[in-house]
Amino acid sequence: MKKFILILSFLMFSICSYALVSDIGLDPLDQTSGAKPLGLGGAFAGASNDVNCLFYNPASLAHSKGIIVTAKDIKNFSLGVAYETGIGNFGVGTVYKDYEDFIVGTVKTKYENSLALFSYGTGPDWLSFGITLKAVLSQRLSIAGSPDQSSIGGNDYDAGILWKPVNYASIGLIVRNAQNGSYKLGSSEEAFPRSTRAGIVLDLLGKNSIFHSDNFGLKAALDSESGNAGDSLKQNSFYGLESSYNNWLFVRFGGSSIFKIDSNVACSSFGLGFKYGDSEIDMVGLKDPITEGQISYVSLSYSPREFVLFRPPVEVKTVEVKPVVVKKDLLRIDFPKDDYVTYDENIIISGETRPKAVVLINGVHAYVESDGKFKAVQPLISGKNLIEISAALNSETKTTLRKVLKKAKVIIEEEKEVNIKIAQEVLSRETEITRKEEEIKKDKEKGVDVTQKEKVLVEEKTKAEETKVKLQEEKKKIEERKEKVENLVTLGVIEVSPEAKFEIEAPITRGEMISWLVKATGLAIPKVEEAVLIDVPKNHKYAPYIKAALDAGYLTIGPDGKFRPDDPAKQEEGQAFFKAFGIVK
Amino acid sequence: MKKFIILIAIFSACFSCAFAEAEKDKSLTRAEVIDKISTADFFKKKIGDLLNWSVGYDITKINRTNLAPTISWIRVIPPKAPPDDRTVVTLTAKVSDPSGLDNIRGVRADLSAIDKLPNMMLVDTGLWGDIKSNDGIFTLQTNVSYGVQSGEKDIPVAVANKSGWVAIGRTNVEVQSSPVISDGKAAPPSVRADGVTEVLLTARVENPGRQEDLKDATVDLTSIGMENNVRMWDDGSHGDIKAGDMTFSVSVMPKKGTGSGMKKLPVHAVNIFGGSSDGEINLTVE
Repeated sequence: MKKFILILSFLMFSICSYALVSDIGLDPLDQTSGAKPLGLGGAFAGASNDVNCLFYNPASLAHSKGIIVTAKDIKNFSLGVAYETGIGNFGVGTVYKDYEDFIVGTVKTKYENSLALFSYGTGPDWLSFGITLKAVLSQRLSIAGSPDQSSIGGNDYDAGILWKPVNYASIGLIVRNAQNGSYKLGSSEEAFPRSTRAGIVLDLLGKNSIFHSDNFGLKAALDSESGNAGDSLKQNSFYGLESSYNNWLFVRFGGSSIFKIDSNVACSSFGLGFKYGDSEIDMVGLKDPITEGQISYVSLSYSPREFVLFRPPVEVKTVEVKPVVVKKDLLRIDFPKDDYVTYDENIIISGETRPKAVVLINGVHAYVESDGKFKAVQPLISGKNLIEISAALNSETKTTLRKVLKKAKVIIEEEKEVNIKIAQEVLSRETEITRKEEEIKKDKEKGVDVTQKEKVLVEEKTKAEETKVKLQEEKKKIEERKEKVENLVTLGVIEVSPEAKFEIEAPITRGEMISWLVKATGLAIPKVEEAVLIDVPKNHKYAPYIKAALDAGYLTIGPDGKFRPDDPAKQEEGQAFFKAFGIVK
Repeated sequence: MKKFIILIAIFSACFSCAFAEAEKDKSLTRAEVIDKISTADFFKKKIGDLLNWSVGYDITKINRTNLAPTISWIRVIPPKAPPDDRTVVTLTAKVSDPSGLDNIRGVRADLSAIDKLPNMMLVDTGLWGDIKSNDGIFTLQTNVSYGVQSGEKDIPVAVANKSGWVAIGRTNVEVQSSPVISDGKAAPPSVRADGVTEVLLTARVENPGRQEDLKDATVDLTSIGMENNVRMWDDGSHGDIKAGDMTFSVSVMPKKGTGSGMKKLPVHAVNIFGGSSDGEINLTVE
């Protein structure tokens, strides 16, 4: 298998004939960084859900987000940030490395470089893809006895795949420096060393792991890399274990075998990590494969659940939901209610319709406010009134009828008198009695003999009660009569203007009586063109009624040819009229 | 004793007669008549019917008397207006109300047909084009918006009163952008083309909106050997009889050598907002 990979790598990668940097085992675009991955010996190609993936497998970035800062010292550090966008995750980062005073052969060498990267990863949980674009910001190689070689620029890219066949395993594949681009360093032109790295991470113990544990976790990671390093083929391997407790304490052990010049250097690492909420601090101590000295890194990371740079507009299928509009009634009458009795000459009809509807009341346009409310004054005729209210909007119409009885309002003079009497005689007496009662009470308290006063008071009370009863009976009688008068006025038998006082106990004239009887019996009122009788000229107030009664044969006139319309009607005459008109038999 | 009883009896009889006579002479009161009528069977039925909600409420019980205001007339001046957003159109309406002008709540016109607001108020304040305040003639000044299509535009006017009633009337304004040429005449209608004999060419040119917005009226005289676009006048000069009567005239002398026969002289009129129209004057050359 190893041979197969070697042959494959040999066929895949072109080899530069001469390379200063690559031959040493250095890669100007080596972005691997982070205390956590280094704690696992650098085995991180198969890792996911970690912001450190920005510096390893770009495909893993599809499931990673957050910010990370890693530093060894002021010359060795990296910064990275990865965002969710809704169409995949993006990350940017920069790495600064400085390898001081390491021995290549017998020559003291120094190498420093910096790079920037832009990474993108996308895909579903089980399979994701990614790419990292990398550019050298600067690099300098100092070999003792030789002039420093430095350059700016040069770029390449990494491509990666991450496959998660099961919950507890993820497999990653990275082609690093896939373009195999070149850069100039001094007078020499070198190629970025292309390599292929495959890795696997296994969750051995934990909640979604091969072996279940609620509190403890154990992960194993293994990477293998092969590629060219200048004239040589390199074979690197990385492995590590991470144990955790309650997902806040992490202990890591790692090891690696990394190509340098013409052989591999074995390195080991030990790391610790502490997690609090979305933040984590990781530390690692390891043997640097280049300098072969002990170094340590610290990483601070923050990986919240949501770390969104932007979300593309989501095409929401808008289902046209018609708003539930409670359709207002086309016509609602607030006043009057049906079967309404009033004494008023006019009635205010109010209600509500829909805005822009036309409202007609008895065929006349009513003014409708912008909110659909209307209020109109409708004159009433005496007696029965039918009010037709209709509303129309477009093709819709609604009509409502209201029955209103307009009764005649009659002011009975005697009623007024009785009310005055009640006020004067009853109420004033009651006030006086109350005053006397209090006086007696006070006298009693003083010990004065009040027997006589009490006797008088009782008599007064009796008298007052009698008067009250008498007046109330009188009032009741008048009210009953008033109702009769109102009915007669309403039916048009009696004509009384609303403001006029009607003396019900006054004597009735013959003419007035005939007019009432004619109207009550419903006789047709003829037109009077000439004097009806000697004493009933044509313009006499009661002339039409007297003529109607004469025409109907209800009246007989004496030999003098007079009717005496303005004379009071005597009892006997009245009885005769009643008989003639069929009021009594 | 016997005599005494007889006397008592005679006295009682006399008293009774006197009492009866007095009763006969006593006048009836209104109350008595009311009681009698109210107790009559036929009248009880009438009262019953009056108080019965299911009887008698028919169409005859609809009171047609109303308190609605009235619109006597509505006028638009000028009756034709161009869609220029500029020419003032005055809308007036004469309104009245049974309870007097104080009961008028407002007069409004729907100007949506000329691309204005649908609820414009007319005023009777003596301002904003209204000549006299409180004379019942309500006025609104407006204009026709650009882009309104030519044709008759309906303008409903509504007057509402404080009693809640509305009267609706309508008028219309003719939106027209081009002048109208009519009555093209030559006097005399037949003339010798000798370069000396004069002929008066006239045409009535009516401009929508203001007549002074008519830019030019010209006649093409090339068919009678003269110039094109000869201006016609309505200022009392160049043969025009009366200034400002919308009849444009020009006196010309057909050139010698003009062929005889009926000549159709094209008339062209253009106004300041770009409207133009064409007409013609027939002239017979002998």
